[in-house]
Amino acid sequence: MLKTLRAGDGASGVFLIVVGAIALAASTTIAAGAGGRLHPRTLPIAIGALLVLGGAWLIVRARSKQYQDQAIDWPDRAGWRNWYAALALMALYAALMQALGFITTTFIFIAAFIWYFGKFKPWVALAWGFGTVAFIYLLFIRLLQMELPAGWLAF
Amino acid sequence: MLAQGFASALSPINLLFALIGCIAGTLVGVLPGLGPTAAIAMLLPLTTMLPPAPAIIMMAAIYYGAMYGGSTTAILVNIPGEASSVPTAIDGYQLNQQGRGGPTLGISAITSFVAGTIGVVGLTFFAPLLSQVALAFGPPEYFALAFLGLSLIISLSGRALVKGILAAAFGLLTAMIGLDPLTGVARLTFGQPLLMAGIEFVPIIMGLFAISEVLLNVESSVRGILSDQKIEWLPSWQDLKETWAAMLRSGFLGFFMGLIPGCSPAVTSFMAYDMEKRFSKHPEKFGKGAMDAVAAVEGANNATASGGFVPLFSFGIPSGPALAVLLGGFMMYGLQPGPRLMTEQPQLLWTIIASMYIGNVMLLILNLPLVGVWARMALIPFPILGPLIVAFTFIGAYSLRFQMLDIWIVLLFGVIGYLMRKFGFPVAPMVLAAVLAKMLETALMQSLVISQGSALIFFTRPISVVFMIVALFFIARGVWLQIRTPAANIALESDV
Amino acid sequence: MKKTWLVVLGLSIVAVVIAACASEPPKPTEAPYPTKQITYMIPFDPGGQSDREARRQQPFLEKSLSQKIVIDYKVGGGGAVGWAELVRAKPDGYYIAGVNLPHIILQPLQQDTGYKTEQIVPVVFFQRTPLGLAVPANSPYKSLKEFIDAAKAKPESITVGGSGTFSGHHIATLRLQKIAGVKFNYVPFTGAAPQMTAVLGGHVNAVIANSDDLVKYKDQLRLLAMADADRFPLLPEMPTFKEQGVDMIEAIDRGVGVPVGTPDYVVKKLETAFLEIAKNPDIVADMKKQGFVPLAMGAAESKTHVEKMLATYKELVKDIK
Repeated sequence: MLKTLRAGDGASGVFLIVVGAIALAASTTIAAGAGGRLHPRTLPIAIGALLVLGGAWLIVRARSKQYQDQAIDWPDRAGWRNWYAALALMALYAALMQALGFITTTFIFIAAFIWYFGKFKPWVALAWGFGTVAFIYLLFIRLLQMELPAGWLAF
Repeated sequence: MLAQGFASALSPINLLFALIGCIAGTLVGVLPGLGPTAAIAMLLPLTTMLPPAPAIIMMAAIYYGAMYGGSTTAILVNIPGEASSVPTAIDGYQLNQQGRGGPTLGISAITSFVAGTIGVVGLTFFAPLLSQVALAFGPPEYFALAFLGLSLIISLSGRALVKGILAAAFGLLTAMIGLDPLTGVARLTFGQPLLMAGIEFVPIIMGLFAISEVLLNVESSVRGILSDQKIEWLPSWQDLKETWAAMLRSGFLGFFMGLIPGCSPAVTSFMAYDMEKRFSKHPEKFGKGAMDAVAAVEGANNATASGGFVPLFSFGIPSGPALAVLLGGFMMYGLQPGPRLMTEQPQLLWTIIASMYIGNVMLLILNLPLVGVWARMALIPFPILGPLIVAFTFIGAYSLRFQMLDIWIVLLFGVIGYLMRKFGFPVAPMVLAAVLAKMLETALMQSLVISQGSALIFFTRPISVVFMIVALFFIARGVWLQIRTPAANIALESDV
Repeated sequence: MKKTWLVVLGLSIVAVVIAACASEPPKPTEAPYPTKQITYMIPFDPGGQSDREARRQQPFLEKSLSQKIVIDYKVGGGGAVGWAELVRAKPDGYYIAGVNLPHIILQPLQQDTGYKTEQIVPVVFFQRTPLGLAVPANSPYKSLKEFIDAAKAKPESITVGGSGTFSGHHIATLRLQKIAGVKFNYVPFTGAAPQMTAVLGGHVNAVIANSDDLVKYKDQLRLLAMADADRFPLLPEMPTFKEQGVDMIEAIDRGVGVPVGTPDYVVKKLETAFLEIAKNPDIVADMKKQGFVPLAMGAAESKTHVEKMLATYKELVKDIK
């Protein structure tokens, strides 16, 4: 699927048309602002239209004969596995952050990432996780008094 | 006057606080997402304990110090902490991958020093002369400036012009989400209160660069960002010889742009990148690791930062959010920067200006040895560096507004950035457009109100007409080159 | 059959549990407050007027409430984003926010902003910035009369700059138009800095601006009229609108508020703490020096003040929409 730039251009063209169409639809309902010469919806509509036209142009161009096609440098099967694993780890990290707290999730995320992707012993992963968390705690929470999500284990 | 200023800036307490400010500024600059604005605001309560000179010296040092540090992560791990270091990342990261991370960081520090000093010299000797520049810019001029900025999309897109324009349109669209900056009407929020605040461009940048970089790294068999090449630490004479002209040129450009309130270092650094590409003897190397590109960008954003002190000191007009907080610091002491302060409190003002010379020297001394420390970061194997990048990116994004939404935006744009690189869409135009969108729309609306709906206003005022003509020339030339070489506009994209 | 029996049993257990929860005796009415840190949210950028005031109050509040006060920012939509957040917060007094008038009245009148004026309980208003009309120092208009006459002669030709639309500045311009029977060309800006830069550079003919900005730039401006009952102490040479026959009083008030439903004793406690600061002679003197009018409006007074303004503005806004 989408092995070449030709296919990629087609797909991105479709995506941009969809985004542009959504923007157009959402822009028509924008209310008029009080006393302005430029209606607040003018630019969003113009940009939505540009995206639709540009997306269509990408599709047309991708179908033309002159198009010099080129393979997209996708990862191999193992690469994809890693890719999904990394994205899933990051998404889990973000999803659990509020419930478990920033410190806890960061520790788990860093340790898990290093353990999964690195060829290290588990203690190396745990040590990095611990070290980072300690650094973050001291610098951001203690010194800069930043309000990071605390979660259950409120520090 | 300057001599007296130096005498008082060199007093132990003032030196100490300048140093603290420089260290804090470097730190704030290095940590992605954490900007000088928040750091200075956090220090405002300190003003109740300190006399004005050391407190303001420290706050100012944080501001210009952050510009030194901002390039570090951009060069080493392709994470520009703020929009102004996006063009740094383009070439800086390439150089780092070629094993030239150390010299690049060194050049960046030296450039920051040169440009920072140009800015302070300008501030010292020409502030009264140049202060009128700030007032010459009304809405039509800002629109013309933003339009000129947008025309840079053409050169930033390289050969992928259509894709660059579409990326920019997408960037503009994201910037439109939220309440209209002038009329406060909700746009593209789909009824979601969270979206009313709009989407900040910092999480977008972090996603496009940092997270997509992580995704690119894990897909190929896991490796370090730098494998086992020999690493140089400091720039050679050759590097200096190649970049000194770029430093000076962009230093002057940056300083002049800094005189215009509201022209952020982000805009200037893109302009400097483009300008240097036109001056350079090897424009084809831009985007693939040109040292002079890094020098141009760093010179521009540092000098813009110092240039912003001119309207601040001469009229009390802050150029951006960080200087607005600094102005707040002045006000906590009941001081109002402006012509009156120059005559009533010259001693204080000159002490602050003198401290900026000293601060720039401190920053250079501080940053050059740090280069060795930072450059080692590139040797950390990716499985360790990757999660650290993610964690610090998330902190940075979250700290902007303390909202989970910003973290999800980082992730979303991480995937978007990844796909853009695979499909050959240049990323830089999108960032540039997102940065310029507000200025463009606000100024357009204001100009049309003033002219009662006539677009002629942009062509009847001297400054704006020059900008408009230059912009139209760039656009026409870009389109012409594109048409003349049709084969080029098909595949092969520059990987910006 | 067995199954039905189980379901009935299950449902009755659920019902009993719910009933038990509902009939649980209410908590004692006056829990000690505050027992933990209080978040003081500012819906504007750090370094702005609201933030500076909060930073000034912070150490005093920490002393009198003997708890940590954390200043937090929820910026966006001219404050709307922060206030929408405030009314969603638990009304227990641990999440308080800076509130501005007329913002919290005008925004909900314009569109659905995620909060309503009535959902915010003002605790104390501590600062006022009257609005004034000014032109560049080299402007041809020497007085309010000349200015209005010029607008009469050429309607919509005179540009007046202010911050935002549907804002205090915009409303003041509209009110002046209505009273004087003229029409200006109102140019909105994104804040005080760009607005003042534009008038100093002569890009707009006049501005409606906050008193502290007028104090800042008084040397480069000609101050035509102040929209306050009396002359402003720091600008004694600036006449009021009233003196010149235009009965107009417009100001921006800053204070602190809590979500509706906050217990009275909590409001009382906060009110005492904030009023004490508002009456502190050092702070009063500082505010005056910086071009503000210090206020010390307690909770009851603040509430009537908001209600009165809401009624007035509802009338005025009909004209814009």
